[in-house]
Amino acid sequence: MSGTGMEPASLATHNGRSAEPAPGTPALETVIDAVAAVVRAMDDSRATRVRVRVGETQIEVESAERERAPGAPAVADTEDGGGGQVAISAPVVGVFYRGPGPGEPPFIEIGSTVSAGQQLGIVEAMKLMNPVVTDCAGVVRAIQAEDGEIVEYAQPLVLVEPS
Amino acid sequence: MLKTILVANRGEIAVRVVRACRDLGVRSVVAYSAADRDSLAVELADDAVCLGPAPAGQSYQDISAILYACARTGADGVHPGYGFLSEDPAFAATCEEVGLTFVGPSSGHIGAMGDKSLARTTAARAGVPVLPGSAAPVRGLAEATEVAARIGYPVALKAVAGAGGKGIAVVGTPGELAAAFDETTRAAGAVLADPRVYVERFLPRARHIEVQVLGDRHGTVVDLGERDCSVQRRHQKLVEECPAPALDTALRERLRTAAKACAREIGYHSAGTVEFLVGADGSAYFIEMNTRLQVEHPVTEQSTGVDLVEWMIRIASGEPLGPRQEDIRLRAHCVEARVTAEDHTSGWRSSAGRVTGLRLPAGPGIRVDTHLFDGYFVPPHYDSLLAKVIATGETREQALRRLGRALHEFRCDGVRTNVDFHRALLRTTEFQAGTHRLDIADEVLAVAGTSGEDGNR
Repeated sequence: MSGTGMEPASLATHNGRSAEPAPGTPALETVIDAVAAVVRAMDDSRATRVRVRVGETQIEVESAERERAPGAPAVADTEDGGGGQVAISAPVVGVFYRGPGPGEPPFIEIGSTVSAGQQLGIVEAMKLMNPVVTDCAGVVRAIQAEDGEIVEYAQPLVLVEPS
Repeated sequence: MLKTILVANRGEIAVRVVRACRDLGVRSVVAYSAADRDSLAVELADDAVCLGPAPAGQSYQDISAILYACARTGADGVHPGYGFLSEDPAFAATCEEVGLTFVGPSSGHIGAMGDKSLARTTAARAGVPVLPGSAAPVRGLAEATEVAARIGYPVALKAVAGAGGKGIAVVGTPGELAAAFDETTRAAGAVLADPRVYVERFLPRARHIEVQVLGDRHGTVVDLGERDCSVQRRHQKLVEECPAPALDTALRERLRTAAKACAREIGYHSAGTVEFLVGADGSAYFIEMNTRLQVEHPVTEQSTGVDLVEWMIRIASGEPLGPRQEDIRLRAHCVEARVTAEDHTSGWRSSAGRVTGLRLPAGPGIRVDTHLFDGYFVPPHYDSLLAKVIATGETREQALRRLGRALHEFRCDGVRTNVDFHRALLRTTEFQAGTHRLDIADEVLAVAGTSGEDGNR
């Protein structure tokens, strides 16, 4: 999840196989309540898109009309990176930098342990440095863009395996 | 010839430009917002780049995002389509500064004609009649009152930065002026970021006639005939046709000559449109020049056989104009109906949703420019245009019959559309005769506004 400060909600699904929720999964009302809570939480966060995932089930909520406050740090979208990993994506179109400045060591390497809120990189757009931040704690499993590469909006940059 | 063109737009016009690129062997890149990730333009283009989230300010109107997208994809040209940044002189100037080819006129042309008050002065300098009004933006209500009293009511208050029908108010009596002035300046400041307005005489029951021009970078300017765009609501066009019906030949020639004079006055290159109001007595006045491709460009293409988007690209690549003035003939009559996701029976309320049961018309003389497909989700963020249904015939009568057939075939379930409005329009005596004026849409709504046919939800 991205920028909500919430614990991941548990969601039930029948995945097209059964209308009955599997044993131990919450009822439909609980699911609806969980999604409603996510939407409310988005109002208090800088996130524009939140994806709640349990197993093979996910619900995505996108805020279409929100404007990021000028100067506010951009929070990267998080997506399923496959294999249970979370993809931390580019918050804007721009140039991806792995370190805080020329010649300085990168924020992270593959295998780094990261905590929620930690900066993983920068996407520069017209001299504005947009921090790439994870709100998922875990271990960095892949870095999917080169230092200095121009990246597009929502392009996956770092894969984190949640701890 | 340009190698790679980035299309900084969406919807049907993005599809149109992608197709023109493919026809020319130019690589196309569609720059899209997150809301348009699954769009037809993205699918048809050679490459695509996501600019940002759905709000246009963070995607289609974000100049820096577009420049990075060009750098990422190796684009050497940008086609702005219409709307968004197409008439933003700062965007064109930025492209010029960084060595990108803006597929359109120069930033100077856009600036000269984008200021509607300055454009009036330019047209007058070219010997083109302009409506009586203020010579410059008025400095306040007192001056607006003085100008209105001098030229006589009704008057139109127009935003200097107006575009797409925005920023226009018609004032019928002196008692209405103060409130209208406050509202127009406030709205112009908020929506167009420029509160300045000017005053112009309002011509009741006029016709909107415009002339398409093409200029190259070598000083050649041609016109491609006129279009009638008198079917409008809230100053936005709904139906356009080429050539204009029931227009005196001498007047037609005067308008075409005047349009070329405007373009030559500023050394214009690329596609442009000079708009006129034509009064009931045949008097014609310059309103404005649009320095971009128009939504209604297909009617001119179908009538003349000239591919305007292709020529925009060729001209931007430095080629001299191919078609000479003597080659250009209006060989057919063509009518376009804009199908929008709007409910004309409920104040033109827009309608977003998922398209199901799509059936697009076809057959002899029918062209449909659209980005729709079955299952497409019409997003709520942008313009409501869904499709342009374009009917061509040897005569106007044949074109209208074919348009009627096409509208009968058109089906787009899942969202409300204005197809019933067009069907009702076609049934009116005035439109059939070609004698309609700018108030025709209101008349149609008064008669048929609350009626609706099934199969069009």
